[in-house]
Amino acid sequence: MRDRQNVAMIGPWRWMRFGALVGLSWLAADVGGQQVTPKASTGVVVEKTKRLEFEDGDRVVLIGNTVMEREQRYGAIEPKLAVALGEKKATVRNLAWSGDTVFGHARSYFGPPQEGLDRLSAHIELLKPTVVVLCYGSEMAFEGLSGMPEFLTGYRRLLDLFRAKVAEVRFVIVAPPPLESLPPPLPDLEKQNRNLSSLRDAVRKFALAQDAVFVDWFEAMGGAPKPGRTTSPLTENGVHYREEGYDRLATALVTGLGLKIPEVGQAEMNALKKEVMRKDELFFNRWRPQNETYLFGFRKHEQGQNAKEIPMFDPLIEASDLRIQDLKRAALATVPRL
Amino acid sequence: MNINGWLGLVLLGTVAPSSGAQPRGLTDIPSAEVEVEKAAFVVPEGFEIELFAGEPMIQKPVQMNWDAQGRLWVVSSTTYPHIEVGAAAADQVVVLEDTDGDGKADKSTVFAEGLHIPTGLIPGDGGLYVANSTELLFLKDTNGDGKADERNVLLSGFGTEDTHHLLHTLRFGPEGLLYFLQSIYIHSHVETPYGVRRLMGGGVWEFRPETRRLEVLSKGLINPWGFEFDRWGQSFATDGAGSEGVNFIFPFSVFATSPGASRVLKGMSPGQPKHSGLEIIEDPHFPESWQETLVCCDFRGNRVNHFRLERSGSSYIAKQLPDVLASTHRAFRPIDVKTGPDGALYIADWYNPIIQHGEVDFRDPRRDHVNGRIWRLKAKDRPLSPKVEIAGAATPDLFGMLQSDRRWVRQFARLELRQQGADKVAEGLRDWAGKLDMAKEADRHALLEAAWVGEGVNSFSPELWRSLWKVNDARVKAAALRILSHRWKELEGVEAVLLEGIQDEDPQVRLWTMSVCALIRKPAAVEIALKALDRTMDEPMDFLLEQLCRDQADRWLPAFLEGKMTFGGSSKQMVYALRSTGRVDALPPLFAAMKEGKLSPEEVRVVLTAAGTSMNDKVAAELAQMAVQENDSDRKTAMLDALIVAAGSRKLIPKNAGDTVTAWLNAEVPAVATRGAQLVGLWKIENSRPTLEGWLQSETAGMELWGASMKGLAILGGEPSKVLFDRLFLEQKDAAKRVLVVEGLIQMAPQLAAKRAAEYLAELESTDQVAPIMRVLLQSKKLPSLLAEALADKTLSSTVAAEAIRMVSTRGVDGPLMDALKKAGNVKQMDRALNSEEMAGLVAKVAAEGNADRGEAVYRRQQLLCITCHAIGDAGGVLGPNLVSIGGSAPVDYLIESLLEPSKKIKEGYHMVMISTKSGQVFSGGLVKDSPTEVVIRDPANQLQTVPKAEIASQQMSPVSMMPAGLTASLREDEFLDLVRFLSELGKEGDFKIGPKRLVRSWQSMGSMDQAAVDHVRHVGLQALNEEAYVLPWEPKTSLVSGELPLDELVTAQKMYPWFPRIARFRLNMAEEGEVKLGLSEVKGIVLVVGSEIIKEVSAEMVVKLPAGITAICLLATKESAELKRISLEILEGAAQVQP
Repeated sequence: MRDRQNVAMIGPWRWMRFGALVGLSWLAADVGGQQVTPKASTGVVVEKTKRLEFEDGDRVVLIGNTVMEREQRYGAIEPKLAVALGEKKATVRNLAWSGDTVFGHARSYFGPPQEGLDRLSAHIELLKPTVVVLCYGSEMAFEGLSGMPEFLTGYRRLLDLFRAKVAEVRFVIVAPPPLESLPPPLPDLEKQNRNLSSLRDAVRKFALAQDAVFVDWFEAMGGAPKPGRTTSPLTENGVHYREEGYDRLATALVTGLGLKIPEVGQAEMNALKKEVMRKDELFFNRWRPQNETYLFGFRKHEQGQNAKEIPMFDPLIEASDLRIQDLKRAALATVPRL
Repeated sequence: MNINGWLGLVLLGTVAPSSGAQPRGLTDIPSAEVEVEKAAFVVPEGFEIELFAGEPMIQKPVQMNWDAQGRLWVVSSTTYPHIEVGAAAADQVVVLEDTDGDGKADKSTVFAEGLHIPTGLIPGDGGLYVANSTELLFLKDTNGDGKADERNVLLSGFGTEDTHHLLHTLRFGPEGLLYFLQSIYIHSHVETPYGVRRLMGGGVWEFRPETRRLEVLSKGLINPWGFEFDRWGQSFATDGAGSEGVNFIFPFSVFATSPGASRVLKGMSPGQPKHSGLEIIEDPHFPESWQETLVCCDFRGNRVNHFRLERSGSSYIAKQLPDVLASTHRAFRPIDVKTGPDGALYIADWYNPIIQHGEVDFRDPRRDHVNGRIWRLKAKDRPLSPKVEIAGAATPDLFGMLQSDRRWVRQFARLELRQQGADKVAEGLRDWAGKLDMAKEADRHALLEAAWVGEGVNSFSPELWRSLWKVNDARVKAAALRILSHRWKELEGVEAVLLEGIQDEDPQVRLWTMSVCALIRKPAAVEIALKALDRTMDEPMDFLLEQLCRDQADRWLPAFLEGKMTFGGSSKQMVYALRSTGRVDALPPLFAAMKEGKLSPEEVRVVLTAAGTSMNDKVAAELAQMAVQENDSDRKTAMLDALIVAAGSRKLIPKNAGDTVTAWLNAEVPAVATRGAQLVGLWKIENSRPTLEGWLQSETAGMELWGASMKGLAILGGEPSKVLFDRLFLEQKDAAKRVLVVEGLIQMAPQLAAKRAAEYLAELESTDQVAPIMRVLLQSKKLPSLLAEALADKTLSSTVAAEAIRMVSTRGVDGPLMDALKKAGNVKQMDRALNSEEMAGLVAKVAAEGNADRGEAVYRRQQLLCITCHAIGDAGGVLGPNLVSIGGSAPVDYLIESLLEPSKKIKEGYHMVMISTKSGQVFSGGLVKDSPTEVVIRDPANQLQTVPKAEIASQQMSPVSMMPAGLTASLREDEFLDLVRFLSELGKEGDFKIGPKRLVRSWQSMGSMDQAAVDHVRHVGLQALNEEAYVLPWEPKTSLVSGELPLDELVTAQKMYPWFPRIARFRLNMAEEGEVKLGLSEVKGIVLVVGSEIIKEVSAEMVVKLPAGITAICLLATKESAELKRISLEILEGAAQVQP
């Protein structure tokens, strides 16, 4: 693996390896938990509810396209997950990227999509996630379902990319949430929603076949397409959710994992949320820094010396993780006890 | 003493080199005092400049835009170029107000903060749009406290690969659409309610906020930080790193550096300085001569440029006017320019002694993070324009404002109406428009404004549109088509409109009609677009039509092949459409037309070129048969060339190949036999081996046939070829043939080839024989290391070795060859890296002792190759960056470093690309084109090399500069200082700034003519000098920076009785026939030959009539002007462009 990385030096591998050495204590935690080995698809689908058992020290990665990327603007998921896990600790890192596909389109910078996957592979190496929450495929609402076989093959390869780095990794596969037909002149997205409904069915089967937990954001956020226009939208433009929408998405995800979210004080939750967003921003500047061209790209021979700053984010992120745990405990302390 | 020696002396006595990247020349920073900067301005006569706002009110402005209340919104970044570890995003949007109308901002409000290198903003729609790295935000102040309290992400997924390329230049178009641009390294992936939109590299986005529809309007350009619409709705972009001036932007236009582009458009004034920002003046505060002129900022050259556009064909040419503003202050960095509510011109000054972060360290302490200014330029004796109450004005009053002669008023009236919405505006608008008188130009324009307002409230009126279409004014029609590009689905009978448009008298109307056709994406629309071929085409039209046929082939080609499309029986249209596709299924109908004799020779050439890259086995067999039967030798050779390309790049061998080849080998025409010989190899015709062997050993075979036989046998390969080649190498005396032998050996016996090449090099005495053999060797992947081994026991002449080293370094070849050459030639290792003390010493010496005039002479020396690769303005080579404003943008230490260590910093867009092919060849050079089918590279010898995509094994950017190290090694110290001084003056205020005059700078000078050439000219007449058919010894010649042609560099007194002239010529390109007024600085003893017309009586200003296309104009400085040292020639009027 290392050799392969050396060949493709476009990406930020240098600092990653360096980061992994000096890096975050949470990186050093054990890969834990009893796991089911992934099985190949048998073609037979058995409906069952699969729960995700969290372990103390789990490292959660969120990945997908805009719906997952923009989560960091609202900090909705991690606080709910944190209080739902109670004493168990989990760290969360968001690797989602607007416009991304299972093939790695958005993370490829100058190269073909494969370069995006190579880059992701290095990020997985850095993070060694034990739980990966994926939400992919919403572009098929617009592009149609004819590419479904390639999409599912690509999705499987994407999971294999994680498995190659962390044998016991657990997956949560999330169906993209529905689109909303807002009042004109915004477009009627009923047809696109029908595509998403079919996509949901395919992804559910896929998740089962991959022994992944399936979370149905499509159903949770309103489900099957209804004709006519939405009067009380949760999205900003029919596609991208606003704050209230993210609150619901987060709840649907955490409860969909079989967890219960305790009632905690609003002020404590807000403090927790703020720290999560601060940590997300630091992490964003670390894994997806600006000036890629000069730091790690084809002009690194000119300004690559500046890349030394990038791993310096690690201790700051680590400190933020600790504060998140403190704030979580403070929040949990507000849970009314019987 | 040469530079190696004197550098040694400079270094003597200095302390040990300090470690690390200590910034250099920290003393070379101008004072940041406002008064110092102000005093350094060079303001044109009749104008004055004052500070409108500075720090601490604002810092580091990046873009500014006004609102209807006359407040100036400025987005600024102190974080640029890169966020510090752990720092919070802290960049701001500041609103500046001049509440007492004294021309100075007296109130500054921070509207938003916590932004991360925001690079664009525009107020509108009741809030503020901000480009914030990966996102486009919409901020709103809902409680009226002047601060944003609502923050929405409208779009996300914009790339951040380089922070001076981020999403930028937000601009409302006249139709109320929002535009923003991104630059070369950015890759964006944006999800919208219409699907994902992706834009790789630079380009212009078009966004309708109310529908959230986002589309790519135009692709390419390097750093397009200026975008604006003219009075008639045409759009233009400037480029901060491209060097072609203003660019005409229309749907589907593609410019340089767009990834995957098959073809790109050019800017309007090649060789122009690089620009940021763009404003079009339309305000009575400025004099009449300024109206509708373009103003853009040359931030490198510390000045603000000025252009007037003239229509030329479907596009424009730009005529540069005297500068709007200049400065001798190195930190004055104008980056945005806007007319204000009072009609004065406001110029945002980013203020920084250094620019860029690709070439200067992110954390270089010379970087200014605190200053930033807005300057206000006004005419001294002209009244300022009065304040107009636009915000909150009544709808009918706003309609009235649409007729204002002030761009500012019209623009904000439109935006105000947009905010009022369709319900309030639409009906009144139609009534208002109905009262306009189409006989008056102002009313025709007002009707257009009315249509734009309708678009702004997203309410398309077919009725209003049709009234636009009826207006007898091409500018209105072209703008109507722009509206139609968004509304074609909503106009009944759009086909009839397009049919009318494609036959319009005006080329720009035809271009826009094509754009709409391209958007429709249906075979019928393709057919309409192709009718443009019935009239004169020009470059933008040809570009667009070819792209349309190619990119939409999937949609129309099946319809054509099924007989559903006929192109109205026009073979011209059919050939054009089919050959544009580059597809194999387009070939059979083309061949059929060719057989039927329907195609012109030019069309045949085009078809066969297309066939070479797209044919398959079946077509190859058919073409081979056609070639056998063909009697016309030009057509026959073109067919064979196509077969050679197909066999060479895709290994296509037709059936019965052996029989067909024999016929060609026996052909009497050498060109046919030559190609036959190549095909023997490519098609592996073992039976024909003896024929080729015979030619190689014959005394009479011409060089071409000899070379082709060599190629053929090399590919056939095997022991017989190897033995024969080696014998030929030892026997041959002819250097060119020996090089060919080595080339032949490379494929089949690389080790032997290396051995022979080393022997060859060891025998060489003259350096001009080095290039041919090295070119051959360096094109092979294996040879460099084998040659290094073979050189181990050889001794080379040091000059031969030095030349070989130069070639190795310019091709980015790593490995042992460089060392082997140094050793074999006993070439001293030159460690040119300077430590900071040495550099400081040298910088000081440049200032104290360097002389720019002498430096220009050094620059022009042939052996330094400066002119070969670099242009200054519009004349010179294109391999390296244009140096027109290098002195204004680059610190002296940077210049010195670039001369001594060219690979240390490489300008964006000038990185060397290295390609290895599957057959083991290596190509390196500047990327010219990277299309889905092929890559074109400009190699260090300025030759274009085309490599089919299918052949590429690897392609990467090289960290090595194309500029060879050691070019200045032959210079004495004083010469080096002069050269650096010259470079450091380029673009600064003074003698080495390219002025606005359209002077002819690209010339050809006549070398020594032999007697035959002299006799030919004397016999035919002077017009023979302009004939292309007779080859004369023309050499490229560029003017001095002053624009003067140095006659003293020309060969004197050609033996041409009775003139004994010095001769030079230039070529002018015209989009259409027209008059051009030329100005000559000297007339005595000067004779001009314009095309075939000889003008012996020239005057200081003279009008010549030129046809469309390229005309050569020859200048003879006869013996009467023998004393004359310099002459300049200016294009005073007319839409002529100098052909480089």
